[in-house]
Amino acid sequence: MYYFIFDYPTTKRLAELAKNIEDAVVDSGIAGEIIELNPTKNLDNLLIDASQKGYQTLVVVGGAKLVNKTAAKLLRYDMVFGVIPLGDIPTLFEKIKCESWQDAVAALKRRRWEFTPLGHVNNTSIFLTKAKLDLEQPTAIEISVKGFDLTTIAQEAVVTTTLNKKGESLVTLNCLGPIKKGGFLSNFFGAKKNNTQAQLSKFSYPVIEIDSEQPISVDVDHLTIARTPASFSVIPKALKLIVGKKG
Amino acid sequence: MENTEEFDTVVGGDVVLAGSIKNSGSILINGTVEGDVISEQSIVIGAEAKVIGPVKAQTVQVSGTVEGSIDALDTLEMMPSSIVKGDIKANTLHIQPGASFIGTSQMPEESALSDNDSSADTDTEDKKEEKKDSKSTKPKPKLELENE
Repeated sequence: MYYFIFDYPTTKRLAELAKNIEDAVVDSGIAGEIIELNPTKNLDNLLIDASQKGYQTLVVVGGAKLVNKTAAKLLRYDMVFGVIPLGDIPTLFEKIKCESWQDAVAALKRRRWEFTPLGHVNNTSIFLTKAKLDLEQPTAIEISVKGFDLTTIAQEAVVTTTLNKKGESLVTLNCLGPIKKGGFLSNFFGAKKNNTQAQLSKFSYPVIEIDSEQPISVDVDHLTIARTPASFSVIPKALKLIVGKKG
Repeated sequence: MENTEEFDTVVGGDVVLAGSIKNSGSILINGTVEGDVISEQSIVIGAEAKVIGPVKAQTVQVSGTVEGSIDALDTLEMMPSSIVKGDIKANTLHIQPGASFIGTSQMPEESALSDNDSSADTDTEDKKEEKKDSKSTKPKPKLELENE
């Protein structure tokens, strides 16, 4: 039996979705306790409650903000973490290797989990999904890793955690430079995609530092968790995350 | 254009990187690197890319420019648009028509001895593909030319 924490649904559509998910988990026989988050129920207290009651699996049904927050707090507990994304949240579905909430419910029932790393920013903030630099326009950023420093113009910079083929946990920075505009015909011959590919840089290292002339916000799901200069590192095998069959 | 998703490290076009890239995974260079590029797997140097420094990996594919030595533990492939100015070392060497190579080439002694005859056979073809400035040190490399 699992301990479920349901995010507070902000729209009628999400409330209906939450109800459908609740019905599905009850029907599947895995629902031990279902708690709906609200201002009177603090996440820290819920985790203590789940732990004290001996639950070994904690499931969040919610958005990326709650999932990231819970993942960071779960570092202190030895519990398996399950996620059912509440809404269309590609980063979460990708992380749990499922394509729909129904898939996620099925994955919970199987309880196949794998260690997943967490990203760490300036040794203070933690994220499960991805961190993004808040760049409103192409901006010069300085990237430092072991071996080289480089300054590049980025119009998009996203940091995730990855496992390489050796099973090492790394921080990966995907950095997109300004796209060169092709001619009218370029749209028909795939040149646009090629331009994007050509301007993409990707670096995977244990630690990546990003600096800029003016401080840039580092956001996780629209929540600012740090500002540049920011040092990104990885906490390997941080979480036991329940995953589906995809991938 | 290579699919960037297949690579662990990618240096984008317009990026000028000064320093060394040493990575256990595969590396794709579309920009400019002034320093070593070393991978335990493969390195692909795109048509618009330039590397000024040594390149070392299991397999190396060059479509752009390399000013430095190339050490491919397995295969080195020089594509039609490639320009290599430096010494090369590879177990298997593919030089496609149009590639430009200025330097010396070398391959491990054991395979050179066993492939002595075949390298002699390809000798005249080599000259067609390599620019006049290139010269091979002994033992001669095994060249697999792709003229299609």
